[in-house]
Amino acid sequence: MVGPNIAFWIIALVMAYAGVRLVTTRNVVHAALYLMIVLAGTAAIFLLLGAEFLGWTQVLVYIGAIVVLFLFGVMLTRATYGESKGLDNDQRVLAATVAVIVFLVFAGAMWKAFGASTEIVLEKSTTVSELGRDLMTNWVLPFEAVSLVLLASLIGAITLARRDDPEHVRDRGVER
Amino acid sequence: MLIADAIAAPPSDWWAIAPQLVLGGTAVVIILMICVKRVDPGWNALVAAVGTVASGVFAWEQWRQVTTDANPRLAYSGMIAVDGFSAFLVLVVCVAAFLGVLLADQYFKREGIDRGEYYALLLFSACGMQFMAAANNLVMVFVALELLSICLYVLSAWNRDDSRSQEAGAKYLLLGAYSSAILLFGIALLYGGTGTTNLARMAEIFSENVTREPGLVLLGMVFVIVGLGFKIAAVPFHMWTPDVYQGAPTPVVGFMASGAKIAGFAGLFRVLETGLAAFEFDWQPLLVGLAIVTMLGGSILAIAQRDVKRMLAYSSIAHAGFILTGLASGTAAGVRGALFYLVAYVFMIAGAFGVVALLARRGERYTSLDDYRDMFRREPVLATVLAFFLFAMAGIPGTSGFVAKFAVFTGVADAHQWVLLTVGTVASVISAYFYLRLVVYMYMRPEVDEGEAQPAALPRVRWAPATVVALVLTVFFTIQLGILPQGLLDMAGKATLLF
Repeated sequence: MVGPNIAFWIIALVMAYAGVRLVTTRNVVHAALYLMIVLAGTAAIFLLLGAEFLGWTQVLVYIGAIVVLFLFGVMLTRATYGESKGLDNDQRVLAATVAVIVFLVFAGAMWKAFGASTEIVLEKSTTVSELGRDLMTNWVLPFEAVSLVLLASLIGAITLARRDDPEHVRDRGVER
Repeated sequence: MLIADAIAAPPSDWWAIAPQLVLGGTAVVIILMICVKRVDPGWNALVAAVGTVASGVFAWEQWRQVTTDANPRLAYSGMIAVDGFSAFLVLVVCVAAFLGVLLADQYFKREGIDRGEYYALLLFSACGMQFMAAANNLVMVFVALELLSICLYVLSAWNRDDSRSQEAGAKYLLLGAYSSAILLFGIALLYGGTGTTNLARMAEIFSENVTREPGLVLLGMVFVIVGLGFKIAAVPFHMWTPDVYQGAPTPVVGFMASGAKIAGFAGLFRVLETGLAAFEFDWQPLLVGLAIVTMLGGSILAIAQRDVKRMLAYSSIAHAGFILTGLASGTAAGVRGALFYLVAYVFMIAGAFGVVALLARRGERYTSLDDYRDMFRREPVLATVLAFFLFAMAGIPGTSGFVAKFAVFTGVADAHQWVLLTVGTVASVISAYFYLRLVVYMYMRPEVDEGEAQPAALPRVRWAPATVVALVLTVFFTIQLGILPQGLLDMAGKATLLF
């Protein structure tokens, strides 16, 4: 098990570095690209653990869609591409303290629960067909509820972004 | 090895999700109606109202079956529970959505932003609240929470031309997304500690006493309480509430304040009472602390408010504290009281915000305390109705607010939690101050102090039929539950019996 361990540590260190740079860089586009490295690292760890479907979903959804969405957002809202000074709100110390405490609590809990364990939890990884079958049988209700979430967010996004034509919404308001 | 063997799908239990299906279906019908341009937009509200009533009928039938002949059960591989608790709260969500639709109609026509999508999103949101009320799986809890929240974010920002409404939507979205992430962390930790997201199964695992990771479970529990505490606006996770309630369109606030709280409490009750019942001695002190700071924080901060919507926002925080005491008491009587309180609160808060929406006039210009000066002379009926709701929220005997507080505190006294009881009583007295202050402004303060603006002379408020129906219903039930509460108390008592 040496190979995967070395790979894990390399990925983890790269992710940690990218994560820190993500919040310290003063360039919005760079921040989005650092975020991409962090998300790619997560995908790589999923792949290392044998969760292939999850790993590739991570690549498709987060790197393929979310980061691209960020970059489009930066482009369309005419945010500054270069360094921008106004990104800080002088709460670095507070934010860092909270981050360190959260990390310690999580790491402590995880270590206490699984740190000494050498047991192999999963013998073999789940295949996509098993996953799909489970999704459409046992998990079908949340799956359908998620489609409602998507429909509702589509409608919401359109109504908030659309420019009304004056005919469509009749202003029947009177001073009451 | 392709799909040779047939997929063993769990049987579809349509009856179990009938209320949710009706609400979602009605929302889709409304969207289709918007596409057909010849349909008058005035029909949207009517269809939405009929949809909520139909959903309520199904919920009532569920309730009748669950409490009489058929046994409570789990459906869809344990994703949702059909029991007294779920049927009761699904029914209450229908009431909140019905009132939300009725109060919205006149307001949005007045503001000139009467878009049919409003009703579709409101129904989707109510559908999420109902899923939340029935959820027996943490994944279901999360999906339901997202469904109801995303709709509410959009509804808060509904008045796009008003910067206050935009700010409310943006704030709610950012903080809401953050709280969802915390909830999700909690769910992940609970899954890590138990290996399941099914709450009933989780309880079995704890009773078999084979948990190896109580640390993860405890941490997950705290995160889940924080995530849901945000939704019910418990102190110290309440920061968003005053800003959002003040900026969002008033009928939206009425619906949000009632519906989102029902859903938040439903999730909290279910997760703690079913899934984590074995950890009662761990979560009870947390809830007691939360209840104490929420009651006191909401009541004390409300005193400083000069804006009526903001004041009602803090008052809703205080109400969340009173409802939390019921759960924190850990007794059946306390939970029964909390469920009764939820119902009474839905009527009171929807009615109060309904009146405020009318009195605020076009553009929501008149919401400060000074605008309510001498309101009784200018709008005698509305002033009296609002005063009545304020008395009810203060807990004056003869109203549902009194019975609700009494029912909750009975549970607390049963558990011998005298600190909680004392703080609750003190908070009730403090909150009476700011409710009665508004009444005094409306009835007894015609004179204007120096340096204050004279209230503007405005034409009388006109009433639309839907508003009249909503206000009559809310007043009626606030009185009825205050005088003859036994029926609903019995219902709430039965609702505490989980499957």
